[in-house]
Amino acid sequence: MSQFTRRHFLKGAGLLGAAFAVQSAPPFLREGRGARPIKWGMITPTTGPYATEAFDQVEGVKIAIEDINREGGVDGRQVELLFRDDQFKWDQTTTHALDLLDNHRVDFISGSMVGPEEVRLNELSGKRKIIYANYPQHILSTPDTAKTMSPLFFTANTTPYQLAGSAATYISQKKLGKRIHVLADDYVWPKMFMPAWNALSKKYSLEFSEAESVSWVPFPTSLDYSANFPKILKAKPDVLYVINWGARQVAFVKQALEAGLHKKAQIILANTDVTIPEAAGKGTYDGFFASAMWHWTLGDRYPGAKRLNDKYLERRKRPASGYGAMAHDLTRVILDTARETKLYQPKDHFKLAKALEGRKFQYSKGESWIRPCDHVCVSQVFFLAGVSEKAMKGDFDHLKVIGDVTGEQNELGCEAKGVSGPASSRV
Amino acid sequence: MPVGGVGLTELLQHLFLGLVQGCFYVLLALGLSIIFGLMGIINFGHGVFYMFGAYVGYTVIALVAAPVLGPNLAFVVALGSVPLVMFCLGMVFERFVMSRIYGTANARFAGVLLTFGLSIFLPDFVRMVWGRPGKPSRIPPMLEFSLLQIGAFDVSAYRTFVIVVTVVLVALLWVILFRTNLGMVIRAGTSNNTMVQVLGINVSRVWTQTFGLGIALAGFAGLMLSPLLAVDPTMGDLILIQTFIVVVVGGMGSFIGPVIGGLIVGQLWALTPLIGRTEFVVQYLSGTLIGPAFWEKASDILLFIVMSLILLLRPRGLFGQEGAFD
Repeated sequence: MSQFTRRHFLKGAGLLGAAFAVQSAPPFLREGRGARPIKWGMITPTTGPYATEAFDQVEGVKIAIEDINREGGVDGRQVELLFRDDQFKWDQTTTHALDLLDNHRVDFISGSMVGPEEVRLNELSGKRKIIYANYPQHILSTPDTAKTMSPLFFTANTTPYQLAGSAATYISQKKLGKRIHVLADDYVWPKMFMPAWNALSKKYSLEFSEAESVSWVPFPTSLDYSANFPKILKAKPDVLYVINWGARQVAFVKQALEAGLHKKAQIILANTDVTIPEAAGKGTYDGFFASAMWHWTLGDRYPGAKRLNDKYLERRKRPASGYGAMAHDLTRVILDTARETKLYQPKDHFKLAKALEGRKFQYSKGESWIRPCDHVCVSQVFFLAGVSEKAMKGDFDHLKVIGDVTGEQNELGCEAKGVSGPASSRV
Repeated sequence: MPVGGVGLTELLQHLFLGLVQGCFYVLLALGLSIIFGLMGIINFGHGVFYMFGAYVGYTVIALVAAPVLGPNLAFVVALGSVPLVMFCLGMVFERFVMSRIYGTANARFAGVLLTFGLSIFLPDFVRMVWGRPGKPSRIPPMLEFSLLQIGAFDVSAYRTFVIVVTVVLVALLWVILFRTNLGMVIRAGTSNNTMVQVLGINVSRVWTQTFGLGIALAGFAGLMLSPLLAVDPTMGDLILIQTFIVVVVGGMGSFIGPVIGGLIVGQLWALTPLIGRTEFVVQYLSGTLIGPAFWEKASDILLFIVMSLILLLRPRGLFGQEGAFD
């Protein structure tokens, strides 16, 4: 039997130590240039009431990343998606984000579906100086919230003002009447429409007063909107503007039809998507109007939209939703810009942000651009009309696009929000 | 003629809406109260059984009956078949799951945990089988018209139908509980379960049937509400809280309690927004925290205040008696 000497011990310890050092070495030592993928972190609630839209977001991001990788990646590196489901719990949003940032060292953070998630990820973006690609509505775009936006926050989605603006434009163009009444769920997002309607009612000479012309519905507990119908009927509005989403919108539409409300006022839904009328049933939205950031029927107009729909039909057996399309477009524009500028590491994100500001892009709809002062995406906002069951050609054309509004005039000015100069320079 | 500054027409509109809402609460709360009254189990899965009833209704109507019989007859078929399916489901769940915990230490707590676990499992099961997006459910064409008008408000045939069905169901339940042997055993069991067993009555079979009855009522409520709400896996989440409030207000384990409690809570829900439009509030409270805008959103607050007051002043609820039906 050979003797175990001190030399053997030192050799073994040395090998063990070297192995440990390699394991715990910083990533840049372990992953050589060209081998380490660019990590795109994403957090969205694929469990919970908005799971369908969240899954659509994930699919949109996957498609964008696949396309970028097929085209050679960014600076020779492939892009890798690291996805986490926060289960619609806000503490989980932060936990997963920190895990992605600290343990997985993601190069970008993205996602969210609702305001509380958006606010938390925005805050992390500001603290960690990393680009946050926000997929839902830009709620940090009002005069009250604009200054809290991280300089590295980006979105391709609309703002509440833009949605209200498209409705106000349509009301004015089609001379639907002057008297506006708003029915809204009582939480943060619908409240953001109030400054919009205050400003738009002056712009288009509409009769609207926040004190008299708004009916609030307890959220999330009350699913029956009919308790508000007597007040609305008493107000005799020309237009009833309804701010809700998802299952609550389905409930409202059904109750409005049952009560004949749609015969007494023109009903315009603030925002909708293909997934919502699907749950209401064919022809249910006939007689209703809505604004939207995107609609799958744009596939007839834009090749990018058609391509996206084809991919969704192949993978998810139905066309893309607006959430999916906007997630795709935003991911795409950030990675395309990163590829052109070769700026993708977090240390270069302020430079990348500067390159994104003012950049024009077009993927699944008409030309869009990101306004430098508040990172609002200036793009088309579409106006939709419901389709009767008889007129529907397939399973998904519950609505059709009848117009769109675009341009910076469909958003509050930077001065009105108290912000000036490019956001990326506000370190 | 204004009442406190509110027009009579507007008041009548709200009273009608409150009556319909109350009927929905009655349908939901009866099942919960029956199960607790006999078995002492607080069924935290009540909301998901309500949701599952809506899905069974969708399946029966849209996928099975309507293609053959048309939407009206399909709805009639669902009115009979959904409670039956849910009754059987409830019995199976009680026989093979709930019965395992009877007689164990902390049986009540275990019952809460079991039913809470079901409330997590069943929505995911529904997503797996029926998919994530909601399912369409509509008022049958034969009930899609306005019966009469209160001012500009259409009193719909469907909401009137809900009132009628609730009255019939309550009457039927009363007959079962007070005019049948099963009902006699259920009432006796709520008073003194041990004595009923000593008398040689097969209590476990009664418990199985009672649990099935409670679940059938929950599922039936889901079917009745689905034409007015979105049918999706999360639809049972919020309904449970309101149902508990109704049962607490009316009295746990009571038969008449959930009926009266449901009607009271329904009117509270409907009339609270009207408080903000009374002369008193408009004249003296405008601009304050409890001005007109507050009352529009205050129905939940008021419900919890009323529930808390009842718990403080009469903990068993308005009609609750410990372990007995009224």
